[in-house]
Amino acid sequence: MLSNTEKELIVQIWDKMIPVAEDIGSEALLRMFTTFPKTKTYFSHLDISPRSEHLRCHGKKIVQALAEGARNISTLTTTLAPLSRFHAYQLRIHPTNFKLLNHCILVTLACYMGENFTPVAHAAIDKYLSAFSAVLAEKFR
Amino acid sequence: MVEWTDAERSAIIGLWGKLNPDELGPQALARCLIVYPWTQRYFASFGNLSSPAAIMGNPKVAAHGRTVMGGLERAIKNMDNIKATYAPLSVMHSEKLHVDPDNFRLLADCITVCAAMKFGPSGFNADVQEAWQKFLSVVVSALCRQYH
Repeated sequence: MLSNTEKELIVQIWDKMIPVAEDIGSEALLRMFTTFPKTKTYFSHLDISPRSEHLRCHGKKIVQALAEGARNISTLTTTLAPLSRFHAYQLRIHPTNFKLLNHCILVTLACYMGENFTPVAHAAIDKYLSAFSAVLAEKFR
Repeated sequence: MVEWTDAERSAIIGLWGKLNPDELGPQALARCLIVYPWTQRYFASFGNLSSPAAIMGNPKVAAHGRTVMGGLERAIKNMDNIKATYAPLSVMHSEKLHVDPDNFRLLADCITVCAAMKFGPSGFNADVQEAWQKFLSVVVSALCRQYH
């Protein structure tokens, strides 16, 4: 459950991430691939070495989708419907992996926001990422 | 037995050497209680946990955060034998404190986030994160071992 204050905080934070979407997104992915090597199995078709074009491009897409979702939190299911179908029918990622990327997104935000990543901001973003992943996994079965 | 590469060992000990456990412990525990409020169930005797501000200002939470870091220090000093070092702690968390071990992972994640906030993207880069999280997962696993 997200309070109105939390929803505003989430929009504020993700809006700040849009101009640095490539940096934040690629770093979160790199952290995930380094800390949880099994996640690399879904990317054998891409060059995911640090600073690669593929990594930056893919990272950017993820941050942009998260920013878009943040602006449409009350209609996540509708907003994310195409992405949801894509994850269910084409990507077929084992659902536990969403948590791993979410954790690495939190760590990346913590690195860049420092003291501004307060416990309240952390809780709000964690809740948002959980809701987002739940929608992405909705059509899995 | 856990195998540490030289790089991992050096990253973990290096990070530990730079952090202030008396600062990080209280921050991480308070964060855990705020971000994952169900964890408050184990701290009913700690007094006022009614708001993030109350939790962050609660002296018992701070003291316990320092206790947790004391435990981590023992793991750092016994990196090649964390399982045995932690056996009594594991028994205590299971039989006396009755803590659901899934919650250990949450506290470990909060410790990681606090370290990330403090050291930033170059001090807490992907390789350091990997080593640190491997260390914490060994600690968590050791804490879980005596649950029957």
